[in-house]
Amino acid sequence: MICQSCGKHQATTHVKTVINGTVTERNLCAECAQKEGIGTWNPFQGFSGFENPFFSLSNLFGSFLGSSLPETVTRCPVCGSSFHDISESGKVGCSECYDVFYEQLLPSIQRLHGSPSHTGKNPTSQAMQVMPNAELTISEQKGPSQEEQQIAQYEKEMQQAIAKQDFEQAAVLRDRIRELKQKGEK
Amino acid sequence: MIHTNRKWYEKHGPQGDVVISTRIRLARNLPKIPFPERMSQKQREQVEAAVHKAVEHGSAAIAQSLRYVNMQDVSRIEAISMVERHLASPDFISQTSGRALLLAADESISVMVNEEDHVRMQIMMEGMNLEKAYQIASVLDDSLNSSLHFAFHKDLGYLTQCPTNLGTGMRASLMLHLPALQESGIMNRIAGNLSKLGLALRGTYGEGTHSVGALYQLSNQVSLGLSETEAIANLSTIVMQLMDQERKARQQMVREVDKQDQIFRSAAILKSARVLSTDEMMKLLSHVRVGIACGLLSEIPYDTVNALMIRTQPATMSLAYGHEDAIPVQERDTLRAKIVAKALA
Ligand SMILES: [Zn+2]
Ligand SMILES: [Zn+2]
Repeated sequence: MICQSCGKHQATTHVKTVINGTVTERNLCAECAQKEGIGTWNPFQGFSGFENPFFSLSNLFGSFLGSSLPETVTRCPVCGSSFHDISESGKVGCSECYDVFYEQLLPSIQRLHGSPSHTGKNPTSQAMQVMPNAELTISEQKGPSQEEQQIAQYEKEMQQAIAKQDFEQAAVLRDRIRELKQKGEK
Repeated sequence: MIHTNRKWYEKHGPQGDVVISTRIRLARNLPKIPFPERMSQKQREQVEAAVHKAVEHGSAAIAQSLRYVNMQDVSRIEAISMVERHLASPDFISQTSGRALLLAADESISVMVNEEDHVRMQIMMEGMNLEKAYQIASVLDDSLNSSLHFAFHKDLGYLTQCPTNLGTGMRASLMLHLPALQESGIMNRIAGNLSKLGLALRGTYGEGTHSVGALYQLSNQVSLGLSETEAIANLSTIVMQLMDQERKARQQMVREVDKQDQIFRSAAILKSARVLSTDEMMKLLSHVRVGIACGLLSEIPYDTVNALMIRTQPATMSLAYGHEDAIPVQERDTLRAKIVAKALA
């Protein structure tokens, strides 16, 4: 399929926009999609002619594909995706995939963001952000630690879940508590 | 928000001569469930129900105040209007099954369920309001997280379907009016420089870096390795410089009598035209905005201009006038002219 904007390149992105009250669907090449700022990026495949190509599939996997392919393909236990599925679509299958394919995903993530490590908001423990080193944790620790507070909170929520017969939620909370306690023991 | 039932887009805010609106979007997902691209119908419904429940039982008052809309109960024209009002994406409305939208009364908060990610929270505010919009987003995030426990990885941050959103999952954008910079023909160069700083500048309406009505969207591209506060600070610093350049260029521009003529003529056409297309209106409103900013048309409030840009969009206008289908183009342009003339009278 040829790009509906430039009429030259192969169309790779399907783009939906609302123009004058109707949803318009067009097939665009990567370059034109990028120009219009409405393309869905496939960070695993990179753009031709784009200033900062994220990642070239052929470069990275050329040697891999050239050599013998492993017999068994690793699949994510939650969503069933293989790494091939992910790199083809540019979409990761589920949150678990990031653990299963961590090493393979990392290069393109670094290419995209320049950094592999998150420094922003952390939903599980605010303490990690505030405390720069372990010494500080010990010297400043007075009342219950952030983790102990979190465990207490989860225990409360678990009791409520059980009271409401929401056992699924209770099980999730139980696992979280276990995880936190294990972390504390290390 | 409490004193008025006006929508966010019917107001103007800080730096309103250049910054029309602020948008903060947070992408979040539930653990152990495939991302939307690979979800089963049953899983879609499961996520929808979980988010619905999380909102109803949310600890924050803002979460509880949201109205739940099942996208399958929404008419086609209402859905398109949601896109025009920046509440939903074109992609979101193209498939309605297993999708829901949560909406605040003034439309400043919306949550798309099962779009590209399981949960996409969005805060829209008038003018330049990055910090405040982020605060609201974060409170809503905490409230939903307490029951949904969003997928998070210690190094990769919030996990998202597309790795471009990893880390904070935050995209902060500002809608800017940059007519003087556009006229000086340096938008491509500016966009190029900004992309090196991890920011994207795009035309809002129209193609590429030329934009009808000189409206541009500036947003952060990097979300991993930069905290929310850092990303917002970066964006603010850059936008301050852009604003400065734009204002200087405007001062220069309006000294020319031709430009003054164009501004007053635009106001006159808007007040008296009988037929107005969206494109023509956007162009004329752009000139009028410059006129207001430079004190030539101080009797016209920014609020009116901002509201017209949304209220006269085809689907939104048809809906407001009780039509179940889009009004035919000819009729629409006539109605638009009437609405604009009345608003500016
Ligand atoms: Zn093209
Ligand atoms: Zn997976």
